[in-house]
Parts: sequence; structure tokens; C-alpha cells
Amino acid sequence: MSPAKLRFERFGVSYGGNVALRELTLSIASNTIHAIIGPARSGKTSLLRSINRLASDVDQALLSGSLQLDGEDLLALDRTALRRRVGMVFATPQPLPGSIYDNLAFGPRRSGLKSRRDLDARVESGLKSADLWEEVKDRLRQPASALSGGQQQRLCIARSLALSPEVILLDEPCSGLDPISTFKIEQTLRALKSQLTCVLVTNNTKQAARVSDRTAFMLSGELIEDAPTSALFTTPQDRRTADYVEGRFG
Amino acid sequence: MTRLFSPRRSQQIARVVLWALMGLAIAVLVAVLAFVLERGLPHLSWSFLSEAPRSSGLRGGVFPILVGTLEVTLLGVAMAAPLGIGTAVYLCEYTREGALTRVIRFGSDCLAGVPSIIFGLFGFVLFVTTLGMGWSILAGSLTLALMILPTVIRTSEEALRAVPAGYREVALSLGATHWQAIAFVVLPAALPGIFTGLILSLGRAVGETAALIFTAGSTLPQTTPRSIFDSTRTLSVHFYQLAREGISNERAYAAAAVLVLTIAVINVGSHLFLQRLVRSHQ
Amino acid sequence: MRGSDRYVERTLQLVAFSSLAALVAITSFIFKEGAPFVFRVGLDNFFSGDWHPTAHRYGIGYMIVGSAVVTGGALLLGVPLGIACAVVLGEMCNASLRGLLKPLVEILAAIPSVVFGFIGIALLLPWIREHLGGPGASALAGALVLGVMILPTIIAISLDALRAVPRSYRDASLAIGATEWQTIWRVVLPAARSGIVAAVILGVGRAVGETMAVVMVTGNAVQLPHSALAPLRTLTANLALEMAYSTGEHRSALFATGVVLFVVIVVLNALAGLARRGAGASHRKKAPRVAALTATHRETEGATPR
Repeated sequence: MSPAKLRFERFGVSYGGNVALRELTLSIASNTIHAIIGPARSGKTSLLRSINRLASDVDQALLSGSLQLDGEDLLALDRTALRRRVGMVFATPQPLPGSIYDNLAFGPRRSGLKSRRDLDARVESGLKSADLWEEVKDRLRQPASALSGGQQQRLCIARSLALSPEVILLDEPCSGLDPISTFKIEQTLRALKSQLTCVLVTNNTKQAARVSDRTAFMLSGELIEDAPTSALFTTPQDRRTADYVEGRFG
Repeated sequence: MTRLFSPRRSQQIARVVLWALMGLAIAVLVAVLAFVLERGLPHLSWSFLSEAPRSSGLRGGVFPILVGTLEVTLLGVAMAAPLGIGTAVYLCEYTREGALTRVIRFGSDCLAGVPSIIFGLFGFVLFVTTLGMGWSILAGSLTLALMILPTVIRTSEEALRAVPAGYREVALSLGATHWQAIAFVVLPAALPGIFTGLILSLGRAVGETAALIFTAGSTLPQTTPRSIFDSTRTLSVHFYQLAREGISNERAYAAAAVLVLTIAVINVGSHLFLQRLVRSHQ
Repeated sequence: MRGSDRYVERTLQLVAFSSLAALVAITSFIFKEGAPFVFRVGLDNFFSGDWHPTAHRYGIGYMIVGSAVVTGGALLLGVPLGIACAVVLGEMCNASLRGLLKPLVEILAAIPSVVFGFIGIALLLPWIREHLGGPGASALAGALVLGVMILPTIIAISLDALRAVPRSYRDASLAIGATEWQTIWRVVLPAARSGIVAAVILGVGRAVGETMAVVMVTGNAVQLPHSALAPLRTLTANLALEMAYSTGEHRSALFATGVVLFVVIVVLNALAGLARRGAGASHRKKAPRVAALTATHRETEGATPR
């Protein structure tokens, strides 16, 4: 197994006294897709939003324990620099106002990139990695809101990729999409694995089974089981995992 | 409990009475507008708008007054805008609701309730006499700026709160700093709403009289103001003098028509603008 | 980036205190100019009815009465009319009609007070003179004009209060067979009570503070108004009329008038704030009201034969 990209140790998240995640220890390897599954309020979104520190900045969460990125203390990193290394895709596609080009160039521009040629290159590579280039290359100046739902979500993936991140966090990225759009996104994720590490939070256990290398099952703020995906789905070690993946609750 | 009417009967009576009262209020409004326009429009002419007043406003037009009004009100809005928008951004984007926001809101609410004559008094003591600006466009617009500040704050706050929370998270997740997220995403998205608020404030400023009589002055200008240290009479003040001193009813009606038309255009215009905006967002 | 971000936040924080700073500046300047005067002449002299600046007698008692009289009169007209409009707009009409009527009310709010005053001079005063007698410029004229002018304030804030009443209250009431009017009268209005109280208080503030329209239609004679047709002078009119040519202690007396006005307005705003906060707090524990309605409704249902 390749070295750990992300390493949680006795990691906890709480919001004003309400504990969302406790004593979690988990490693996420480089160049893998690591799925995190579990019912609502299991703490999986808190886990995800802690990795790029949105939990701290937006939700006023209190983090405890340790979290390392490439062996460095992630919690000590400058947050804007961290977010250029760790991209995020949200559950609902949220294009920013403006054109497709503006959406793609947003991140690179904020990082100080100004030259037209560099920006063009970032936009193109982002769209190509998300498999959207062929569909939109002739209408980069049109409003991003005119795209279909599935295209918008791939735009959001492309927008993160334009910053060439090392990790990409996906928060139920296909929850509102049709099966064909979902299929395309899953295809994109498999292709991306060679370049970066994906952390995929999903409600859809079948999706986790289809695309991920490893799957972690969480329940009520605790990690129940973390195993290679095929093992977790065929021979779960914990009864609760078995109940969940077989659809007996959640 | 005894009752005079059955529930059905009282329902009918209530409907009739309430709609009648509503109709009365609307009728008063329509009557006000119709009266002013009916009497004023016949006396409204190009020469009235383009000439300087003569014989204390008995003859001639209102051109220098229009220019002065424009300068005082635009300058007032321009000064209130950064303060009001800045306050709104701080309240919406930088703080959670707490003691601090309550104190700031209390200040803004109280300021909104202060009568315009008190603003006039204050502007007179501070700007006109203490700071030695004299009756001037500057003193008048500073006073107006303070007066419309609460409106600018409130409308800007509403515009900022209408921006989807997702925009902020997306911007942050793409490596924008807090301020970059506000400057490049939140403010541009809220700008039309903020702009509408500024236009409405402008409407309020154009109609203001009591705060300006003692700050911008009430002497009749013969020429357009040359600098912001010149005194000017605004259209509302001019209209007040014409009407109260009975100088010329014709001119008063004409000035009233200009005033009402300006304000109607500002209000209806900003309303339509906002509606179109809401539609284009959907 | 981080450094400049912090700088921006500091600046905005400073800016956010501008309205508070303005309020403090206004308070301190008005008080500095006016308050010492009140203590010099004594409270009893200052609140007497004897206003003769040329004879150095500065009593504002009659103007306080004047302000109270026109405000009271304005409330008699403005409160029922305003609440009725808010109920119609909020509870009894469909969205498209509301979309037409609400902008009209907003235009009413935007009409400058001098225009109202002018219409008072041109229409109302001659009418009162001919049909009711007296000089025309009177307490009645002031009350009528102010009553219309406070409408937008009362409508807007009452409407907010009605909007804040959860939909479930109406549904619960209608579901047990109450009519629309019973629902409004027994459920919605009681639930919105504190907000409507705030609306009325802010309407009072607006009426007390109104200046130009009042100057133009009330006659401005310093006297106790013995009838609705007698002229009177309000606190605001006193400022508007005499400020321009006042000097020395006369000017101080006018600022003292301003102090009184200012204190009244701040107290009214504080009361309105309390009422509104009460409204916010009470909506969380409003459920029992529907239960109470169920009880009264059952009673009346039994009592009225169909």
C-alpha cells in the first residue's frame, strides 16, 4: 500500500458542545478513492469538511486530535494555501455567477495567476480532466448556470481541478443527478485516481462499491469499520456494517 | 359569550369593512398624486426646467435649483454608500449575532427614528457653525448622508442575506480568502439589491426638506452652484417656500409635479429593476 | 493575504460603528446646546405655557400639548386604517393583487412631506374653513394629514408582524372549521400583537417627528387648542419656524426643544424595540393559543344554531 496522504489520529469534531465525530483514527492512501458511507448524522460530512477546514471557518466547529497531510500537521497550515491543495465538490452543483470560463478561472485568479495564457491553460486542463471540454469548449463565455445539472456538477469538479489539487473531497456529488450523469462522474473519478486522492462521502452504498478502493463505515460519529471495498461489502467484520450495506437500516 | 352575528355574517362584514378601508387608503394616495399632477403638469414647461428663477421664484424657472438638488442628494448618497455597505458587510459576513451586532443595530434603528428636523439641527451646529462650512452643498449632503445611513444599511443587509450561502463556501473552498470571497463573489451577487437600496435612499433625499433648510440653506440661487461650498436651495425647499409664502401657486404646482414625478420615477424604476433582476436570477 | 484580510476586517469593524457614532454625536451636540438651558431656567418655567422669546420667556408646555394632540388625532385615523390595510394585504388578497397594492403603499411612503403639507393648504384648509368653520389651519388638519403620513410605517411593520405568524396557526384554525375572519381575529392578530404594537409606537414616533407638513397646516399659534378647529404649534414646528433667525438664549431654548423631542423619540424607539423583541421571543411558545382557540370555537359553535 502506498504511503498515507491523510492521517487522522484520535480526531474529533464538535459544534458548541455537540460532538459530531469522536476519537477517529483513519488513514487515506495516495492515489486511491476512499469512500465514506453511513446514515445521516454519522459524522461523515463533518469529517470531510474538516479536511479543508470549512468546518472551522463556516460551521464554527472545534477540532481535536491530529490530522496530517503528507506527514505535515494539516491544522497548522494556512487555510487558503491548504484549500488550493485540497479541493471540494458539494452535494448541490453551485456554479458561481458568471461564465464557464470565470468559474474555472476563479481559483487560479485568486491564487494570483494573471497571465491570459496561463489561465487559458488551467481552464482547458480542468475541463479536460473532468471530461467536459468537448461539450463546452465553444461556449466558454456563456453563463455557467445555463448548463444541465450533471454538466454543472462536472463543472464544479473541473473548477476544483483547475487548481491542480492533491486531494479532492466530494460530498455526495451525485445525490441530485440522473444515472447517466452519475455514471459519467464515476468514470471521471476513476480516471483522476492516477493524479490525486479522492475522498468520497456518499449515501449510495452501491456507488461506493462501484468506484472506491477502500470504504469506511461510520455511525453516530464513530468509525465502525474501514477495509478494502470488496472486503467490506462481502465479509463485513461488524454486525452494524453488515446491516447497513445490506440495507437493513439507514 | 353572546354574539351579534353568526360567524358567516361577521366574516362578510369584516371583509367589506377591511376592503373599504384599504380602498380608502388607496383612494387618498391616488387623489394626492392626481391632484398634484393635474394642477402641476399644465404649468410645467421646458423653460421652467431650464431657466434661472427671477423675482424670488415668481417668474423664471428652477434650473439652478435642480442642479443644486442633484449635487446635494448624489453627494449625500455617495457618502452614505461606503459607510452603509461597509456596516452591512461587517454585520452579515464578519460577525455572528451577539452583543456587538445588537449594539450596532440599536444605533442604526435609533438613527432611523430620529426626525429629520433633529438632523437639521445637528447639521447646523456641527457642519454649518462649528466646522465653519456655512450653508453649503457639503453641509447639506453630510447631513443627508447621516440621515439615509440606516436605510442603506438595512437594504444592503437584505441584499447580502439573499446571496446563496453556497457561493461563500464555494469561493472559500477554491482557496479564496474571506475578503476575496466577499469582494469577488458575494458583493457582485448582492450589488443589484444594494443599488436598489441606494436609489430608494436617493428618493428619500430628494424629498427631504427639514434637514436641508438649516444646512444647505434656503436662499434662492441665481446661478448654478460653482463648488460644494456654495449654498443652494433644493427643489423641496424651494417648493416649500413657494407654497408657504404664497409667492406663486402656479410655480408651486409645477415644482410639486417635478418633485412627485422624480420620486415616482425613482421608486417605480427601482421596483421594476429589482423585479427584472429577480426574474433573471431564476 | 492573511494580513490584508485582517486589515479589511478592522476597517469594516470601524465603519460598522459609524451609525452608532453618528447617534452619539447627534445626542451629545443637541444635549450640549440645549440641556444646560433647561436647568438654567428651571424645569417649571421650561414646561410652562409661556413662550415669548422677545421677553425672554421660554415655556414649551403648549407645544408639547400641541404635538400630543395632533399625534393622538393622527393615531385615531392611522392605526385602524393602517392595520386594516396590513390585514388585507397580508391575509385577504392573492399574490398578484398584493404585488400591485404594495408598491402603491411604498410610493405613499416616498411622497415628500412638503407635498402633503401643500395639499393640506390647497384642499384641506379651505374645505375645513367652509364646512366646519374656524381658520382652517387647525389641530384637525394636522391630525388628518399626519394620519395619512404614518400609514406606510404602520402598514409595513404590521405586515412584517403578520408574516412572522407561522402558517400552521392558520391551518390549524381553518382545519377546525373557523372562518377566515375568526382565524384572523382570534389567532393571527393576537399572535402578531407585539409586532403591531411596535408598528403603532413607530407610527407615533413618525408623527411626533414630522415637521414640514405640520408647519404648513396647523397654523402654528402658541396656544392651548380648545377645539379641533383651533390652530396649535408642535415642538417640531417651533424648531422649523424660529431656528433661522434665533440667536443667544433663544437659540438655546430651541435646542432645548430639540432635546425634549429627541428624548421622546429615543424612548419610543426603545419601546418599539422591546415590543418587537417580545414578538420574536413569543413565537416560539405560541402553540397553546391554537388550543385556546379550539376551546372558544367549540363554545361558539354550540351557541350558534345553523
